[in-house]
Amino acid sequence: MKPTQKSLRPHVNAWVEDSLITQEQGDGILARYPTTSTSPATLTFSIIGGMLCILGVVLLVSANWQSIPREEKLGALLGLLTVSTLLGTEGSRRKWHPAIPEIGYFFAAVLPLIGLALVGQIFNLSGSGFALILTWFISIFFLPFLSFSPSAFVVWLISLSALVPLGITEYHGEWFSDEYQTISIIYALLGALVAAASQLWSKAGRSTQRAWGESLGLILTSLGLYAYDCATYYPHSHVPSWEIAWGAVFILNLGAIFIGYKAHRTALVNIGFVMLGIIILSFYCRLAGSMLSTGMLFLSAGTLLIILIFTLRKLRKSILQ
Amino acid sequence: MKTWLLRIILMLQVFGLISLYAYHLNIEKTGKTYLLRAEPLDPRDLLSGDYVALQYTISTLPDKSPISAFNMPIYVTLQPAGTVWEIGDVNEAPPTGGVPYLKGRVLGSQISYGIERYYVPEGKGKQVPSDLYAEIVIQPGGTAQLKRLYSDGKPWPR
Repeated sequence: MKPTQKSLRPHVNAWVEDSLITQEQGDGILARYPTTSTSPATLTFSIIGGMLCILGVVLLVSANWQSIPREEKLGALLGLLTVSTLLGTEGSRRKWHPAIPEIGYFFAAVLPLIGLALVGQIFNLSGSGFALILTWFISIFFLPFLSFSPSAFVVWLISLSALVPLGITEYHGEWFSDEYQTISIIYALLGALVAAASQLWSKAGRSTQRAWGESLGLILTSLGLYAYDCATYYPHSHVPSWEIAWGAVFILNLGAIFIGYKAHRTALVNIGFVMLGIIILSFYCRLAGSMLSTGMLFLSAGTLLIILIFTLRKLRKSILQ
Repeated sequence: MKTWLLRIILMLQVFGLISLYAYHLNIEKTGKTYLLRAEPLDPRDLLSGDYVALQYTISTLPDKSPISAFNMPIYVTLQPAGTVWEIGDVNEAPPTGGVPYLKGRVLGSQISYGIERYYVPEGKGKQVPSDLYAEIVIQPGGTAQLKRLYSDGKPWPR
């Protein structure tokens, strides 16, 4: 846990009493630390609790209690939405524990979807899933940018990601060989766009949102490329596109780990390693042609990587000298 | 953080949901109702719960129909057959002359009208009677809304 004014004060007072530092110096030291600390564990477990609660609300709505008048059901949901948003705004304004406004904004981001599902349930609507998610996305479009809530931003990203496959399958968008490959490529491009656009959060001093944007962007691009050729049973050409796509994922995640170490972005390093593990295991299990060719591929890639890293290190040293 | 902007968004969300509710309530209260013969299935939606998936006698495209394009909007006129209504003509443009019609979409040999789901309380969709009749409401543009199901002359599920 990071030191706070509360935890440091007894030590600083003791140093002042022992004449090691003056009272002004002691006050100066204390002023460099926050008054109280926010445990990341408390925040994380609170959000997990909030997720369980929201899933509970979804299931309660799904149970479809017809004994409750529909106006009362809708009223209760709108009341919960209002309370959630007010909890978020007031919690932030009054500097409550960060977990409280975060849970409020998380509910405020998800409840409009439950409200739309409830209206659909009441009137037996069986319309387009794309229209449902699009309406939800529009209703929460500005929420993460006005509230600066990381959880609302994650919900926003998830709703955006859900729009892609629904839109392509419902409107039969086949800009590439089939719907499946179109979804994969759009996911890969969307991930890159999300990761790039998330850098703008740095300007607002919001590193948590930037980290989430980068992480989800990397995951989307990696999975989009990874899945590109998985469902093609009858390839149109003899070019082994899955090997190229998986190779691209490998290089992309090597780059992510490199940037992660250089820029102290732990999330990029962790996700990069997980993706590399998946790719290496997948190559190993699927075999790029045969055991001989896969073995040669692994040997050459590994050797190339080792040579490259030592060459770069030597080059960097020579430039610095 | 702009608190007042967040409150405006909240008001818009609440207004949007109430408007959506009021819009469908208005259709249900003011639209003319028609009774259709329905056949049930019983799946589950993780967001909205258990529902009975319905197929109607008007859901099958007539053999002699010239329309075959996928996902194309079509207009189906209804003609009375005893107490229920059956499929009449299928056209690419809305019919004139005050004849009741439904707007649908062609999906192969089937027509989807957006009234293929009837949400039921949890567990009630497991034993669905075979003699189901659906009471639907049609608004002027031909868009339909499923109001209630009947079995043996009484509302279902009981």
